[in-house]
Amino acid sequence: MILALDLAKTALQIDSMTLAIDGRSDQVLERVINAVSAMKRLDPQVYAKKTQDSEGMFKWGTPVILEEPGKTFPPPKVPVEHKVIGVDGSHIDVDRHIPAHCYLINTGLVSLNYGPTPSVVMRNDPSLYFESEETFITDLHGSTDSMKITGSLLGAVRTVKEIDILRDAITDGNDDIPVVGLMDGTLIMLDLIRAGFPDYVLKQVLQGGFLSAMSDIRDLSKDKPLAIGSYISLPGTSEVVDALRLSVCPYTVSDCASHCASVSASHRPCDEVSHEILDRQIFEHHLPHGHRSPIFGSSSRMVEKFYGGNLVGFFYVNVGEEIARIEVPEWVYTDKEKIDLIHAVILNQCMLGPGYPTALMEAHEQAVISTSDRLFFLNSIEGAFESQGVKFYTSQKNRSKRLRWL
Amino acid sequence: MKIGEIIESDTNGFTARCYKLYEGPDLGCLIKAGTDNSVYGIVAHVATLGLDPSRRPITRGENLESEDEVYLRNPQLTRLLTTEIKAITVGFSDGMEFKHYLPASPPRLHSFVSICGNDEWISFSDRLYFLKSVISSGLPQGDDIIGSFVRQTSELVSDPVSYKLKAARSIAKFLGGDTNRLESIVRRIR
Repeated sequence: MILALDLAKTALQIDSMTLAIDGRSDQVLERVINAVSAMKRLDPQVYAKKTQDSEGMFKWGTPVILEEPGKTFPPPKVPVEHKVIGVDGSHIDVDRHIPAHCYLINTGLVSLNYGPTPSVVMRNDPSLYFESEETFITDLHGSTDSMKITGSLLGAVRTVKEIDILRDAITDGNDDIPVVGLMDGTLIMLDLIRAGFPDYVLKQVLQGGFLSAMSDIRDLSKDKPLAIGSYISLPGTSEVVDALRLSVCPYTVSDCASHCASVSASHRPCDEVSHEILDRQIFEHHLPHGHRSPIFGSSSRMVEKFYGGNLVGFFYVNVGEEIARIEVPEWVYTDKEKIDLIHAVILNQCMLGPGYPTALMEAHEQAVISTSDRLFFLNSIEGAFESQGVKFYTSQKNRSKRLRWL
Repeated sequence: MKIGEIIESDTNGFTARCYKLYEGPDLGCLIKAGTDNSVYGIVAHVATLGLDPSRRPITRGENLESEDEVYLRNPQLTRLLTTEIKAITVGFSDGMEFKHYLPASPPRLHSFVSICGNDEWISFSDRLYFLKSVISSGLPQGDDIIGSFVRQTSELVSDPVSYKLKAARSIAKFLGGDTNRLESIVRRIR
């Protein structure tokens, strides 16, 4: 019998991979211990000067260190009465194999009120976009250029819809009790920034969309116990590791190309605290349960360029089951009360979860589009076309995938 | 009192989802579906479960003092859990009088389900033929359904003892010589 994936051959390769990873675990552990020790020794002033001196020569990012690096911060008290708003989204991308040029975004929102009179609001809102002004982003200033909303651009547009509903929920609530707004994933729209989209796209989606909504929330948060942030489960980032690379680099100026270009990876001086390790591995060894790491400012130059008054910072927190990365805008991380609020509320959410914030889990459940829902969506479009007497065509490739004849 | 809506319906009975968590009728309660030409049923099963069958509830109260605290600390549960009831159809109204046998067609989905008012309950329960369908339903909780129904009805009538005796006699007739089961049901009626 011929299978699409030869499971027997794959299983053997999985065995080999597991053995290789296990064989490296002692070396990884040693480097993690070195990294924790380097972090405790790190002098922020020396680091800041070295960052400046090595500008353009150090090949990794250098996050800004905003608090004492070796310190850990114990869990603050969670307010008895508070609200948590979680938002999430999912989408059905444009399908070029069908005659309708459209996409669907389903946003999910959950608002949980804790305290003596608990309550909950849960809702989802599917929106179908098919008009040309909804499916293309057009240069509004002069040129006739336009960009089709699909793929990573659709992902970014969806994130804008998510923060829009968060902003609207915060505005409508107009609460006096502490409020925390949570998004899933990162606040840094790197897919949009890195992909080289033209300026008019960045202006409309990032600045006019995402950052505009974030600024609205910032304005609402003035003099109020209101914080927002994003939650990243099992983060794969290594920004703190990169900072440690710089801090342990034995050269006065960390010019990677001139000092280490001929040295193989894993044998450079900085590899002792960094090779093949992630931030979360360092904090697994460093953070007691409930504690958070110091706050770091994002090392992305793109964030500095585009995010203005909403610069992104992050910290790691030991929620018990894992180390999570929390990203927050500048107006949150520069306000101790807001940082304490989001730290305490996230821990409480993960305790109630358990292991993952309840508000985000339920927002995901509201937003998720299952495989059967996707099929129903496609069949509904086909049915609607046929009932209107419009011929529904599809590509032969798509047809062959659906029929899978022998 | 309107308590929910029908979500499944067939010739022999119907399932209703209650509007409020844990606020379903008791086992053995007489309920009706629909406002005109209502279909009557006896509650044969009450269940509280997750709305999404793919999500199983987890334990949440190990470190809490009281069960109420579980709900206070997890307000989303009131929206994610639901109480459902199953009823055995025992009759209907043709607009003129009660019929104590199955209607020609089951009630529609989304029919409102209500607990019968006292007068309607007493009036419907004056004749007890319909208990035979509960006895022969084969449900493991059949004896408890009948016992609960008779107890609840006897609290509404002016002479509870006479009503219980009348019910016991009817049940004895339906059971023939099955004295063990009669004893089991009578024990639940007392």
